[in-house]
Amino acid sequence: MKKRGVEKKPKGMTRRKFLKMAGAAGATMLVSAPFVHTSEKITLRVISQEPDPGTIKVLESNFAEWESKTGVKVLLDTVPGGEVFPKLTASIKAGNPYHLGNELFIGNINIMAANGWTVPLTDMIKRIGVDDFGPNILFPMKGEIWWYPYDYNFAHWFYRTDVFKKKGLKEPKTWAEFLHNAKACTAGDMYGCCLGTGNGQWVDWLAIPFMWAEGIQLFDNKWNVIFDSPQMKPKVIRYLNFFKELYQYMPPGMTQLVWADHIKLFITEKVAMSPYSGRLVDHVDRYSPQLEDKVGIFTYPSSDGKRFAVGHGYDGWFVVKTKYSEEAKKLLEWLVTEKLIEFYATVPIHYQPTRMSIYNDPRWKSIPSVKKHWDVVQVMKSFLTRKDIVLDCVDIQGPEIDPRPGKITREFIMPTMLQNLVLKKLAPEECVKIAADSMRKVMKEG
Amino acid sequence: MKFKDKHIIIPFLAPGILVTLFFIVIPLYMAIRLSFFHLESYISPAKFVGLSNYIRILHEPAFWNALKNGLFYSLVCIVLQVSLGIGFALILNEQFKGKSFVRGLTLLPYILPTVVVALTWQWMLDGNVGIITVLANKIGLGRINWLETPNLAMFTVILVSVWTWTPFVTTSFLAALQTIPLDLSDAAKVDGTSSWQRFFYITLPILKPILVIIILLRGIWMFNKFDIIWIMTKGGPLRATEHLPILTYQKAFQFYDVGGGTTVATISFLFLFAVVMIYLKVFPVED
Repeated sequence: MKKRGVEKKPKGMTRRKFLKMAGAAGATMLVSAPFVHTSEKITLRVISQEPDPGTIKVLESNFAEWESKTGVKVLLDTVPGGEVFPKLTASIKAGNPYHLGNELFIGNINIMAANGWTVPLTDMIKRIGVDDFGPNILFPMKGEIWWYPYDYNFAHWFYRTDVFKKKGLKEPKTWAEFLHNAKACTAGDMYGCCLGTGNGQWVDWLAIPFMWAEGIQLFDNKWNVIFDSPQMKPKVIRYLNFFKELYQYMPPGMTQLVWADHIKLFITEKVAMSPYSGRLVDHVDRYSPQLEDKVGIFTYPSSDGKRFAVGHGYDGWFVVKTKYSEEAKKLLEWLVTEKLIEFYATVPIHYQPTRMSIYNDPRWKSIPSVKKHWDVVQVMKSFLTRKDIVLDCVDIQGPEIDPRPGKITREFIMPTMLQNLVLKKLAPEECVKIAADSMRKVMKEG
Repeated sequence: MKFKDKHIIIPFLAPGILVTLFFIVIPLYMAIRLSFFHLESYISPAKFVGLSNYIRILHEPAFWNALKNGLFYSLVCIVLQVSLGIGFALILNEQFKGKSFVRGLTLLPYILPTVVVALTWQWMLDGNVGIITVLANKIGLGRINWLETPNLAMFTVILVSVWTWTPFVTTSFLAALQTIPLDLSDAAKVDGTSSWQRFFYITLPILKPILVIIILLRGIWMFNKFDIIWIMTKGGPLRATEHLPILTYQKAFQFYDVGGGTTVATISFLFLFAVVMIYLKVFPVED
């Protein structure tokens, strides 16, 4: 018989038992935390804007190899081109920064260096050999080199050699010849050329190099905007008139065109001429092998054929200033000395080497695509040495490397100028004025 | 709330309050606070500038253009969504063969992911090879540059927005129509009223509370809509489709003007808040 007033002890989990267990677990975690922290494995986080699946695979494989060699774990995050900077700054603010990254925009590297968020790589570059690097690529600032540039991405023109041959056309050396070719190639389903005019960095890279060939500069030696000066304005107007006429030989939808859409129009045989870097050739190999032996290249001509230009482009690695900067530098040096050719082999024509010794490296020369397109590769290499070719872009304008010109790209001043011309149909003079005033505004804001 | 029930009610309320605090209230406070600073990224030193950002933004033509675009976009979308939504709801409320199937089909645009909708429409409206562009050309309308002409671009994004979100209005009204007693409409029919009269004098007054809520919600959502416009036009061409959310994003994440971006966001929030308060005063939500 049950005794009165004596309750049976409840079986199973009770609230009191649960609270006791939770308290014990929490205390154990607190006590063991220092031990766990001191025995923590180093993990490096890498942010990359290289989207090619082959490149991602190779990087992941390299990082796995590094971990097995050194015990340092490496995690890779891939983001679209141009989105490294916002994600990187957010990671720093969140207290969980990336340690190593690559970037396509030297303006962002300059901002990071100026603010002390990256560490200089001068010692590493000196070990590799400063003189081995090609022209206009290291961009030292305050006496230091802040990145390891791993490729040139020159924007130049690709054209259909078979279409040109059929229509009796030559590689254009002047704007008049360029227009003539574009007009001649616009027939049936094919258009002469394409140039995106929407709000994006590709416009500065792909549509503006005609201006560099023409000798147009944005600033004088004292950072005054000279885009609408008596010397520059006639040249800019000449360029805008040329662009306005060229626009009628482009397919509809140019404001919607982004980066690799220029390649797509070429490999789907919608245009006879398209600007891009070597990635176009890699895409032809992969997706349109029927065009393999029908691709030629030429540079942006000036109006009179006396000068030529390529749109300067590049990518490079940087090391973020964190407690693991030295570890990240070691990883980077290993990547760019022992694994570089493997990286290049993923998109070989697009990743134009920045070091002249690579061009003679038998491992690089034996990459199948490099061998197949050896003539194209040699032309691209000649961009580095020819005195009549200008390598220029908006973010390196001015008397010295400075973050401010990058704002011109980021605020889409050049795309707006072209849209004013072809969509709003403003007079070229007015387009120049609006663009120059916008440049002065962003330079004043700093 | 009885004192003895607090130990049950508070644990149920607490998660919602915490989520609201951490994901709405605190970020809102931080964003408004940032609007009084000048900073070029999330980690550059912030410099207190008081109301300078507000004065600067309010003097920028881009801000007023974005406000105008946002108002135009949201008003036209609301009018079209509500009128089409009510129309579809009335049709779907009738008895016909295959009603259930058609009702399910009506929901389809709403349940598709917005990114899929925007990209698909972008491809269909491509100025060169888009299927709608090609068909329009074939029937003699010429090659229409849907997203390239500033005026046409705005109407195009409105069209896509209306296509996507009208089903929400349709479903809400259809559900509300089920609550109208059949006796009312039967009695009205016996009295010889037309279908228009029944709609305006019976259906609409009964549905007024839900109409007020729908217009309020659609207005807020369309004013703040970012995804469709960003994917299709990125605010272009020539800022023709740029509204306040897009201007906020561009300033904060592309132009590295974080102070400016949060200022635009704060002004947008205050503007919308004021409009909602006035709206609820004029059209109070009935119990």
